[in-house]
Amino acid sequence: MRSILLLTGVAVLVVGCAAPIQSIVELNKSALNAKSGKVGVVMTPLRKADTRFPGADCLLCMATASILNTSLTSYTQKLPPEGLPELKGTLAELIRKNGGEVVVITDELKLDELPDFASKGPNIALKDFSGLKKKYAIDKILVLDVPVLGMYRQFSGYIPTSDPRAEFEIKGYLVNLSNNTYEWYQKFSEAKGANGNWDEPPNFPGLTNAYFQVLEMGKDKLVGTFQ
Amino acid sequence: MMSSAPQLPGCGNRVGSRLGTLLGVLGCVMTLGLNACLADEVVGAERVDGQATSGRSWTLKLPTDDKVVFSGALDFEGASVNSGFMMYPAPNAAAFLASVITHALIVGSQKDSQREKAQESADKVLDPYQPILSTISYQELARPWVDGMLPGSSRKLIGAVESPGRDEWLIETTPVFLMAQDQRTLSLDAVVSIRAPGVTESAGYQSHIRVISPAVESADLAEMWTAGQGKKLKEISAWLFSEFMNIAMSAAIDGTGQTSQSFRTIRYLEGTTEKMERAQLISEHCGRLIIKTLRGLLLSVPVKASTSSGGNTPEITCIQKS
Repeated sequence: MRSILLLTGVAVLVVGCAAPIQSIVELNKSALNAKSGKVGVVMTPLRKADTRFPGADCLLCMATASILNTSLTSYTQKLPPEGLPELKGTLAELIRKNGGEVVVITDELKLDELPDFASKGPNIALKDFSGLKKKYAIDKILVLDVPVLGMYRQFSGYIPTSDPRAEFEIKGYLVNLSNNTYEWYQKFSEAKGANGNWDEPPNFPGLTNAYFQVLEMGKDKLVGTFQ
Repeated sequence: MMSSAPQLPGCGNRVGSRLGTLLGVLGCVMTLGLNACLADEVVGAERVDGQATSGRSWTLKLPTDDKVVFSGALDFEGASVNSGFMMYPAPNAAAFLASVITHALIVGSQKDSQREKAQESADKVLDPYQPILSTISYQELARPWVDGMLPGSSRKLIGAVESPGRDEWLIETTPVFLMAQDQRTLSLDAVVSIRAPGVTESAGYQSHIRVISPAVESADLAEMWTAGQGKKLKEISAWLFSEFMNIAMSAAIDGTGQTSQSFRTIRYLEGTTEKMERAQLISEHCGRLIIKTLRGLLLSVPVKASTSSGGNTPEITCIQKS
């Protein structure tokens, strides 16, 4: 009985601590036209491409997965985030074409330096973006965030159960700075394996090709939202 | 150009795809002999530049089996076997190792099985065409290339056991023809070996080339490919063969495929689907690109949608005229 209560308590704590998953908020282009106020376009710091090995859960499994893929990891870390820094300019241009007033913010937006927003609710941003209104003289902020970039390989314990795949995920959201709510929130995730053999060190051409393909596919989908 | 990276037994870093390698790495972890596991090995590509001379004589050696190889195109990106967290019973080191080996064997056989099944499934696209495919020979498909020789040069076919004349360039290849799953596109994939007169086999030029046809349009694709004893099927296959041979000969003579251009993501059409490839642009002509991929593959691809239900597509006509 005591153990059941303990497990229930742990479950409640875990669920209570988990951040709510933000669902998609479709972009209404009227949120980005001449009447909608000035929009700032900003990016969070671009992470370096890297590898990850989900399923290698024990310490020795993680060490094994890491050593098995040493060459791939060091190669992946050298891959450039091609075209991602230019996305701010591309989206700004499309907003301008839609009649909107827009400014590209050259600073990186460090989300962990923003305070948490006091109130919570549907489509309310967890972070408080309102301080950016005065700083950049804008009414809305369009944030681009790349949480995933590189390669992943599924493991089951010590054993790789999949070939490595290139992956790319970009999140975009538009926050109205007057009420800190999302007027657009969307995540674009792409993953692709090498065509044919993947295990071609030191330059992994198949996976490199897949890496640049997922970058293009993700960028296409993001930009397509604004066209 | 061909390049290869031989597998290193045990502690190689061509990891994960072989049980032996995995066990080698596990052994490395256990013995902490990590430094020995990190070596990379690359074997450089070989190429012999041909001399750009006029009046060359070309001899194409046909495969021993003259029956053309057709296959269903497969866009296979690696099998993924889903399995959850695995607890390894480890009453002692031997049992632990045995459980890891058993798990690796199961996963390996599942992946091989997935690959075989995927190819079998892809080949089903050819089912309506098998009666015609079995009648097509390499000799038949190579004939337009032989007939398309330029003034001052000669082209001829020889059997698998024959030898070329002293002054003849020898071309050896066994192309594979692939039909896309939407049946709108044929492509040719082949490694070609070309030897200038007097050049030894090991010093010959080698290249991997793929040519993708423009998409065809028809309300009834099976009817279109098979009409007139497979006229369209043979026509497009022969055009692919000629295009392939022309690229191969140019590459062997004047170094087509050698470029200092930087790699970029190039978009092209395969059927009606836009594809992307990280590659160097070699040439652009008649709505088609020749690009060189990261693996050194020379790829001839359409970049514009061609819609044609009868006769040749505009880009094929354009290439034939130029």
